[in-house]
Amino acid sequence: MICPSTPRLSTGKKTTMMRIEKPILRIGFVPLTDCAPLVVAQEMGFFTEEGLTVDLVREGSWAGIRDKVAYGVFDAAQMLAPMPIATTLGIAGVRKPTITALSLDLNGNAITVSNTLYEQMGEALPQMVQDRKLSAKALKKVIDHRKAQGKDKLTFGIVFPTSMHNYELRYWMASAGIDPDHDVNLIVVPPPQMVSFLKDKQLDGYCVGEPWNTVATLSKVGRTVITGYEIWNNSPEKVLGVNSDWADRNPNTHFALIRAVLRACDWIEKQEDCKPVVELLACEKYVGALPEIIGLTMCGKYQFELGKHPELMPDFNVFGRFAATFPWRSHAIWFVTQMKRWGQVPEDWDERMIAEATYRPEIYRAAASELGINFPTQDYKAEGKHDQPWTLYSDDRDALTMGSDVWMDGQVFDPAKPAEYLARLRQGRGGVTSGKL
Amino acid sequence: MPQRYLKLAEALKIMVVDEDAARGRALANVLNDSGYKVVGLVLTGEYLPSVMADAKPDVVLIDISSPSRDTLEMVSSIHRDHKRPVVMFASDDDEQTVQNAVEAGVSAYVADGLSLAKFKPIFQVAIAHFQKHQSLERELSTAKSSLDERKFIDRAKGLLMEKRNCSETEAFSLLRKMAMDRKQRIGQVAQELVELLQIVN
Repeated sequence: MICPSTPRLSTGKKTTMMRIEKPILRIGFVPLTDCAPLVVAQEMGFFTEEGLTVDLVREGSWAGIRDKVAYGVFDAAQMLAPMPIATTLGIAGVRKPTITALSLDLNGNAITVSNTLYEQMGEALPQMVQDRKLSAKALKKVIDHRKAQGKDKLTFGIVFPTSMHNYELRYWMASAGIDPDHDVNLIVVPPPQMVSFLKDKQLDGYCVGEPWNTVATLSKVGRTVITGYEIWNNSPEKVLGVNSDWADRNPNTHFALIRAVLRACDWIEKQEDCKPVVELLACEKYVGALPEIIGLTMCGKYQFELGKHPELMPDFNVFGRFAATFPWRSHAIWFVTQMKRWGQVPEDWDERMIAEATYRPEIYRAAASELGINFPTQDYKAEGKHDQPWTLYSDDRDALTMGSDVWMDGQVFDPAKPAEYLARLRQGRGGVTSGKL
Repeated sequence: MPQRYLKLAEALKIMVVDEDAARGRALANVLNDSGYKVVGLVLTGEYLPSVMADAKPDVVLIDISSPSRDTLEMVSSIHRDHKRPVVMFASDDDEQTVQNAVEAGVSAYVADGLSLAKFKPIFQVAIAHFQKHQSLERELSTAKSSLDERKFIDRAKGLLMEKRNCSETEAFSLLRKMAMDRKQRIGQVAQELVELLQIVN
């Protein structure tokens, strides 16, 4: 496999006639498989065709991504989906209005535990092995047992305080009545260090993106107990984030950027063979992991157990279909409910105002309509009502096929009533009201 | 006794975290030489909260891209092992200093309540140090890329001579014309040509 040293030459086909205010851009990414849309936009020439010359810069930390976008070192970056909200609000760090008008993918994470903990969970609740949704209950039994014996708390790793990983790990735990602030230790560990921390017993489990779950399984360090998809089908994950001032100053550039990455997501979706994307991602300058490892989840398969056939999981990580690229304001509202649930923002902050300031579907629509890519005409959608793919109809556009959207515990989320939703989560299973992170 | 206490309180404890070992060591030395007290130098992926619990720094200077920063973000919100929280030195305090720091590639976390007057000189030493390092790296990479370009130009000339059956001078003027037409550097055109011919063959 030869990794390209320069982006593929453009076909010369320019799809836009707009004046690009800033044709040379620096864009940050973190070496995880869901940087794929940015890598494809670069290597397949979509940036060039939109009139952009892009320097893709590999970044080691999410805080670095946030700060470099906030202070203009990066023009844009792959961000954790809650990051534009967290940065706009200044949760633990720099406060700068930040927006997203493009989602990069849905799903893509999993929860992995050490072999020892996996065995203990399996003994506590044997059905867990067949039905992964029972894994949180199994963990609850292990934790209760440890408490009774006076043993130390278990420690779990997350990648960042305001990340989907944090919220989904907590959701999973709380669904079984585990209080993530008191019953376990939660610590932040950089993704590439997760596996070695698990191996050295500094962690008992973690929630992380790929390839770091598959690496643990294949190197016999741990076992995946549940995927993010199974916790909440087709949940938001990463977005393309930019500084709000930057977007105001460079509207055409922002537009061209969204079009290029949108085309990349569409291209990934339409590939019958996933190998070319896998080989690009495997390059040292991108994810830098073996194609055999990256090729599992990127090709819709998941290796739950070493030595067995991988399971088919076509939606483990979704880039194009199900309107995956659309920046749903309802997703933003859901993030704010979780920030409130875990004490990161005050209770009286207005979810809808925050969602409208940070998630910008109108920019998405303008970019998508010129490309002939169909889009939703509404900004909000309920979650938890479909356990199968469904059809989203709108008056003046073609129908869209949407993915299932259920949670492991059957909750329903109405974006018009976030307070009621939050109250239900709190009084229901794992009604945790205190705590911070 | 009060005298001694005062002296201790003035000596701020600094920790340097940098995966670039040479840069990190040099910064620690510069700070030590300037009369500050460096209580820790972390060069690899150690778990920061444990190291910090032992060294109890007042100031952590850290490479802005270090994966350990994400860990610090959590320490800055809460940490049970850490009685005195560290907070990120962020924009509200001094916008321009932070802007310079981010551009130079360094960030700082300071013990809650530490006065800006005490901390700022330290931060400025770090920023200056990182800036110096950055300009050295830039020079190196320019030198390297012109070396690379030389190689590509030679290779492209060779390929053109072979394909077009022309002389070296003719091959070079062909490359130069392509570069002028495309408004690109000659090295860039040469590299693209070499790669294109590799794909075709």
